Amino acid sequence: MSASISTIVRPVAPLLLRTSALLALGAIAGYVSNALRADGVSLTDFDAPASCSGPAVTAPPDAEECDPEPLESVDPGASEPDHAWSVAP
Amino acid sequence: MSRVRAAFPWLLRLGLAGLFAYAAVGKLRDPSAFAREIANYQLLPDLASHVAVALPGAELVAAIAILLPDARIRRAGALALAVLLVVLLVAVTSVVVRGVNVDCGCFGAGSGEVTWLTVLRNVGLLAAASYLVVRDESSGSVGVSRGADGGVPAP
Repeated sequence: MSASISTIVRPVAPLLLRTSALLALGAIAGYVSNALRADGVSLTDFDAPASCSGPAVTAPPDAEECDPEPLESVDPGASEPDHAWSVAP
Repeated sequence: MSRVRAAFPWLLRLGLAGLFAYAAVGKLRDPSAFAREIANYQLLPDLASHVAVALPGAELVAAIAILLPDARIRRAGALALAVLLVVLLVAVTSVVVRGVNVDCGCFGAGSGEVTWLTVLRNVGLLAAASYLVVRDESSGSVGVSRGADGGVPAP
């Protein structure tokens, strides 16, 4: 069993090693580049936007939950709007 | 005809390298915006900043690697691109399937929304990168053994 695994892995091991090295090199270069930038991303306290307020989210899946209830039109002549949530005196 | 066949992998390499270099530079221009776009995917948001920092560098290095004269490095670069494309493919497919309407961020800010077309594009790019991995394997040292100019076919 181990011999068959070795037979499969051995030919591709150098390729996998080189591929991993390239990806690691690129990632390290990215970290170094970010560290050298004045406007780099903060890795420790990056503030991920909430799903409802992210600038790139044009229509979040739970838009109904995110969007506030539409305001009811208030009659300007009425003395006090009738809010269902108003606290009773 | 044989010249066209010999030139085809290099055209693919040039196309993929140009595309990924362009994508990496677009992301590197504004890493904070890219990190926000990754977070909007709603996949591991805690890792968004790390992905935003590491991904463009990996893309750029892999794009350069597939143009190098050494066939072993080129093949590793093609496999690296394929690995990155699989990750990106999973991300964009999950976004489309879940119905999350986010900006792609594929080429930096303002890359357009993620749609099934984005998924299809990534499948095509993955096929191209996979072809380059297999091609260099089946033909041994394509490019190195073809001439002293590093294997670039003569026009």
